[in-house]
Order: sequence, then C-alpha cells, then structure tokens
Amino acid sequence: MLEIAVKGNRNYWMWIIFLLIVIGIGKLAYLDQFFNGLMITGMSRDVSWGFYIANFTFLVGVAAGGVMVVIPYYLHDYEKFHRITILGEFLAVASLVMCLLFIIVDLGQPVRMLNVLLYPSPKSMLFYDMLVLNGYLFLNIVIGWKVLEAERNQVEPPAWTKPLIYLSIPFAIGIHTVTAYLYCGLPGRGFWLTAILAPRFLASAFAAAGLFNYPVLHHPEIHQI
Amino acid sequence: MEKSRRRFLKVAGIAAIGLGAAPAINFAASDSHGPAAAAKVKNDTALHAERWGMVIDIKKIDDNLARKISLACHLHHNVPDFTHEVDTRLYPKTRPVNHKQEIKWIWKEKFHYAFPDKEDEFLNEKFHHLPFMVLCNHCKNAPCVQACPTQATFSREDGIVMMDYHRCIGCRFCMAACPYGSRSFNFRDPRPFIDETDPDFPTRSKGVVEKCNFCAERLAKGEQPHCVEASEGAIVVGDLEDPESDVRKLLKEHYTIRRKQSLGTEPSVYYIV
Repeated sequence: MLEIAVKGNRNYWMWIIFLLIVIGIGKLAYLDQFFNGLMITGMSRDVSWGFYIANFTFLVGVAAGGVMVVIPYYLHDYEKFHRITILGEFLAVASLVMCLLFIIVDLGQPVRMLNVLLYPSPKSMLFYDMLVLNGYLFLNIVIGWKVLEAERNQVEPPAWTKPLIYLSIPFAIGIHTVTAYLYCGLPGRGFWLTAILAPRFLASAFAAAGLFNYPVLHHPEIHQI
Repeated sequence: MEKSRRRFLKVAGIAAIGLGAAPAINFAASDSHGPAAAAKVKNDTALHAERWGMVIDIKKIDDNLARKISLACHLHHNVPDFTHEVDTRLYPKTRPVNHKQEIKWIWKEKFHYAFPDKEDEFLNEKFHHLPFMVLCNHCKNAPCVQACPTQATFSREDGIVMMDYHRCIGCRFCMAACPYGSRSFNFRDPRPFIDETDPDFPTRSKGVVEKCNFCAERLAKGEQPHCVEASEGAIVVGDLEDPESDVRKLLKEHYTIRRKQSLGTEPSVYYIV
C-alpha cells in the first residue's frame, strides 16, 4: 500500500526533497537542544511552557476534529460522507504523530520518557494524556489502514473495524478534553480554571478541523469519490 | 513450517519456561530472603514531625539578611548562580546566559508579588518595600504532587514535598501547577555556574525541575535548615501538629498570613506581618 508514496513525477520528488530538507534542519536544531538543554528555547522560569505545548494543543484539536467527518456517516448514516471518513482518520494520525513528537521535544529528559508508563500516576492529567493520545493513534492507524485497504480492493472493510470506529469517536472527544483539563486542572492558573474549558476547546477544535479538511475535500480528484 | 496444534503448544511451553526463568533466577540470586533482609532505621538524632511547618517573621528581615539567607541555601545546595563567571579552561564553549532562566530556591519578593490576592490601595507604607522571603510552601494539598506524571515530586508523610531528580522527565507540569512560582527548571547544565560545589549535596543535571526540599537531609541529622540557621531567628521550623512546638507557639501569639490561602493548597509556610 505504501508503494504509492514512492511513485511520482519530478515535481513530486522536488516537493518531497524540500520537505526532507526542512525536517533535516529541524533535526539539527533538536540535536542542539538534546545536548545543550532547553536553554536554546525562549522559555524561562516564568514562561515554562511555550510554543511546543501551544502547537501540541492546536494539533490535538485538529486530531479531534478528524472525527467531524466520521460522525456523520457512522452515527447519522449520512451516505455522502462515506468515502471521506478515511481523510478524517489519516488527518488524525498525522496530527497525533506531530502531537506526540512535540511532547517529546518539550521534555527536559526525553530519555526518561518511559517513566510515565513505569510509574503510573492516575492523579496526574499527563498520565491520561499519554493514554488517550496513544490509544487514539493506535485506533486510527488500524482503522485507517483497514478501511483504505478494503476500498482499494473494492470490498467492505472487515466487521471488527466497526466497533473500533465507534470507539474512536469518544476517544476523539477524550483527547481534547484531557488537553483542556491539562490547563484547567491547575489551581495556579485562574484564567483557565473553569468548567467550560473542555467544551470550549472541543468547539474550537471542531471548527478548526473543518478548516483543515476544506481544501482537501474540494480537490477535484476527491470530488470523483 | 507446518502449523499444528502440537507445534503451537511446544512453542508456548518453551516460551512460558523462558519467561518464568528470569524471575526465578533473580530470586535465587538476591540477598534478601524474607525477614533476614536488611532494614532501614532512622538516625537517632533525626528531627521528627507529624507535619513540618515554617514561620517567617518579616519584621526581623532586612535586605542584607535576605541576601544572606538566600546565599546560605543556594551555596549549600549547589544552586547555580548565573552571574558567576564561568571558568573557560574547564568549560570552554559556554554560551551566554539567559537570566530569565535562573534557578532560585528561596529569595526575597515584594509584598505585591508574594501576596497578589491582597491588593490594597491603602496598604501600610512600610509593606511596599519589606523583603518577604518566599520559597516552596510544602503544601498539604500540593498541586505539584498531583500534577507530576511520574511521581518524581511526592509528598512525604511528614508533609515535606520532595523531589526525585532521577525520575523527573522535565515536563514542567509541576511548574505550571504551582500557584506560587517556587519551582525552577534546569534549562542548561548547572555545573559550570556553581562556584564551589558542596560535596555533601548532589548537583542536578540539565532538564530537571528543582525546588526547596526543606533541608530534609539536615533534619535527618538533627540540624536546622540552612535558611533557619542564617536567618538569626527570623525563620523558625517545627511541627505544626504538636501544640507545644515553637511554630505553634508563634502562631498562637501572632496573626499570620499565608500565600494564596483561598486556593485550598494549605501551604505550610506562615508569615508574621
């Protein structure tokens, strides 16, 4: 299935090489941070969370918004969305991978990442963040793969993907709610300490996701589906 | 490879033996076999409390004493000083510092910043400039303890909020959770900025959060915390649950305030104003 990714004309490869160069520059910057510490960022004792967590929050919203195209078909049987649910699922995968990478680069000691799994802390929001983010990523990879494969072979996807898809909907609500609670669970930050923060985050996430889906959905090739 | 039930059972059996071998070998090789294992006992001279608390008498502190208190704590705990000139022979390629990434465990603060919930247009004039020593409050309901995803920050039974610098992953969620700003993050390796390393206390690495530890290592030897020793009587620590302790006597005699009391964190540091 991945063989489609390595077939393309010159423009395609120019674009891929450009993206790889950008990734390479990012990697070099991260190496600097890995060896010298987060002092290379603009964060400080007072502003201890910066662009890393801000981008993480935005991308979690985009990932949650992928469910906006899944719900109409699977919960409301709106046939027009049948063929585009796959877009929502892969958008979620892409943004979730970026979310997890943002968290990793934000850590001061990323080598000790597995401590979150080794010493589970059910009272901490970050523990639940780890659970729902990885759960949603796993679900969407499996679902997306199976549905795309089925569509390619022009058959129905296997029956066991249905319950997984239904499970991914509350997970999508969950990932952004947990992210909202990361902020509103902090007594030291009165601005965020409100019960309505989770619905507010979700509402803005779903609005943002529509924006991301729009250019893809209006591509002429997609219209044929 | 022909698939058969017998072959599956063979492989499963060998795997089970293999998985069971490691714990069995570990147990056989370990030194502790039941009650004969070594037990840890507390030092006889250790100070003990049900709940440690601190009372700071602000009127006894002036700018010089405040500096002396901060220095005593920071020097003995190997807290880096970013104004310190780095030895370029030992650390040749040190990049310029960002003073906003400083580390401090105890420092003086103005009233407005220490007690932002007590804004007052007609505040007593002298309060505008009094130095308030602020530090980690070792709260009873510490939000940082709840926030830590690895329990690298934990609450000891005697009320001290301690940190395990080896478990900390540097996510800084505790810094976001702390309402008092008592925590500092090691944005860079602190060692070039430590003038004279105190060998009795470990230095930290880059990428971990640190804060006042109530000198738990001094209390365990029966000594007073460094800030208490340097404060010439302005800072007193003791057992808040013991009605006869020094801190309880001070609390009975004077009216005290704590920082951001309405948040429900129950800080253990009281200020006599």
